[in-house]
Amino acid sequence: MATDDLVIILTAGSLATACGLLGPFLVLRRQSLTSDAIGHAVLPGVVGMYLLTGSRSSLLATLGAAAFGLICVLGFDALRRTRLLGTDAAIALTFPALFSLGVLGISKFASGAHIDLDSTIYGEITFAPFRTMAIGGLDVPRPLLTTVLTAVLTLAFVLVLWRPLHALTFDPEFADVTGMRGRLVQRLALVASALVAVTAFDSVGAILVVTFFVVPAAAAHLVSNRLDTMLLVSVGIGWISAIVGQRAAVAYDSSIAGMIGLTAVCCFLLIRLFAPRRGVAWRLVRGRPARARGQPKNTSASA
Amino acid sequence: MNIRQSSSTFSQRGPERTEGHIRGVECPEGGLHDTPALRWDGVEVSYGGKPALYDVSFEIPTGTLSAIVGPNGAGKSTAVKAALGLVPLNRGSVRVLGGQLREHRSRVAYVPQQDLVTKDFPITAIQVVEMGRYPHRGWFRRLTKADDAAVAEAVRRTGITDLVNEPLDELSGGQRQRVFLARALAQRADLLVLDEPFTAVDARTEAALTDLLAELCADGEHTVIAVHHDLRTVAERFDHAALLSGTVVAAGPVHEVLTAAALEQAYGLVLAAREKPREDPSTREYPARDQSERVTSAP
Repeated sequence: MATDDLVIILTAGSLATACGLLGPFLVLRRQSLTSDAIGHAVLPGVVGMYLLTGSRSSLLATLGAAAFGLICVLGFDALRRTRLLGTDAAIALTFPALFSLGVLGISKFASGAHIDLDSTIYGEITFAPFRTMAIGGLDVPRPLLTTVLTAVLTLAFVLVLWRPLHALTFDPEFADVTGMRGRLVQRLALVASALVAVTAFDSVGAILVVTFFVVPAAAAHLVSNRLDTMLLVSVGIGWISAIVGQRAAVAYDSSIAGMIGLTAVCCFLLIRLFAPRRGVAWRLVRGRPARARGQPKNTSASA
Repeated sequence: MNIRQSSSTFSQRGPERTEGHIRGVECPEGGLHDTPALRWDGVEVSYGGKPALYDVSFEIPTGTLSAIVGPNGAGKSTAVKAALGLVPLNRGSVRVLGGQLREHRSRVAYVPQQDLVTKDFPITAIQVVEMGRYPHRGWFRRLTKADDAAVAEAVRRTGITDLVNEPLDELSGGQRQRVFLARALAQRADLLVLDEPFTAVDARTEAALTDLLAELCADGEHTVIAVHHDLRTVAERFDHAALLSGTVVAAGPVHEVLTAAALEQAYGLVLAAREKPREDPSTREYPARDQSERVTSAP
């Protein structure tokens, strides 16, 4: 295996670690599409930064994107808290507004300039080994460096806030009553997700980010009885997808991001079919209907 | 959604409303047991501009097993959420254990309505009970032997010893409620607030859990407040009750509150407030149990 292949696998795996640690909270809180929303909402940040500075540097674009990523998540969180509409509607209301703003900005002020979103904000993992920067005389691939750093910071974030995250994702009112600063921690988790997403867009591209946030977490959910297990399984599925996907892409000479995404979805399907207790095969063998998660086996209701 | 009420409800308050200003108010402050466990003073709450609670003043004496009762949309859950800082007050104030809630958070245990808990969360029963110790240990400190002892005792008293390693979402409604009550007990709080603890719970479990709550209050130190639907159970088992219908209709010892006149007023008001009493004639029968209200706005 060439060094370039290793760089790609490590970059994707580090990203899978960051997303696998945060994705479960989004999935359990019914905010799965946060990552996709951020992908669209960052556009005015990228455009605005270009208009302000006239530069198409990737760092400036990422900063502008991060600003609007934060506006997006904090905006829909504020909207959600009004209780006038649900989480899904709040997300769906926020990001098209921001995306429209970006589209207007391009058409009105920057139609002459070439803002290639693919090269400014939506990176491509295939090029990760070639985007190097010199550190102490060594040429280090920048995407690898940023994703590893992101993974380490995300791990620290989850470890430090584990108890409040655990309580508030499970039972938000209990977290609030017992003074766990539920609202603050909830916002911090969204901010962390936004920052991870924006960093990752630049390093590996948008599809992989959405894939890594949602698919491993959804698969892990089917086989986990504890939140810590769910996070570990989620990270593990991400790494398996990174390794198998990269190797398959080389073998079939096709898109790396596409193969990694496909592998993750295949992992989900395998688990859906063969998971103990909740899998389809288990149900067929046992000859009784598998319960969906969340439905108690006998509702000994008062009736 | 019935939490919202037509404002016409409030214009029809009768003069009897002053019955809601209750015993104990004149008690001198100072002695621990003269301090009410919870006290609402002129509380007003609205959702999206529509009033849900208006001019609510009553108190729950320390050491009582108390119920908050009333028809659908009476604001029962809203009243306890307002007391616990979960919904903002438009007006008025609440005193918790004689002070501000923030001074006494670890002394207040709360069991929310089941539909506000993330349904499919991967967690085992024992992890839920251990969560009751979080308020004492903050974000970082490890659980100690004392915490383990409190958890073990709560597990034993609620009779869930055989369930501790089961995933929560595989338990029945009654078993789940035992687990959540165990979490409240493990917290060793002085005030337990339960929002509709007995929906989806079988009658036997309800009786057992009510026994446990009564036992807890028997020492005169602990106070239990339950939002409750079953007027018969309240009359038989509870010490103290507050009857709400947008505002306080009556509050005090159970036998003084659950009178025909007060019930007529509380349940009649709501029927009158809905211009056409189009739905459930059962409401008029003061149903022993009513599942239809359980749609409160989720967070």
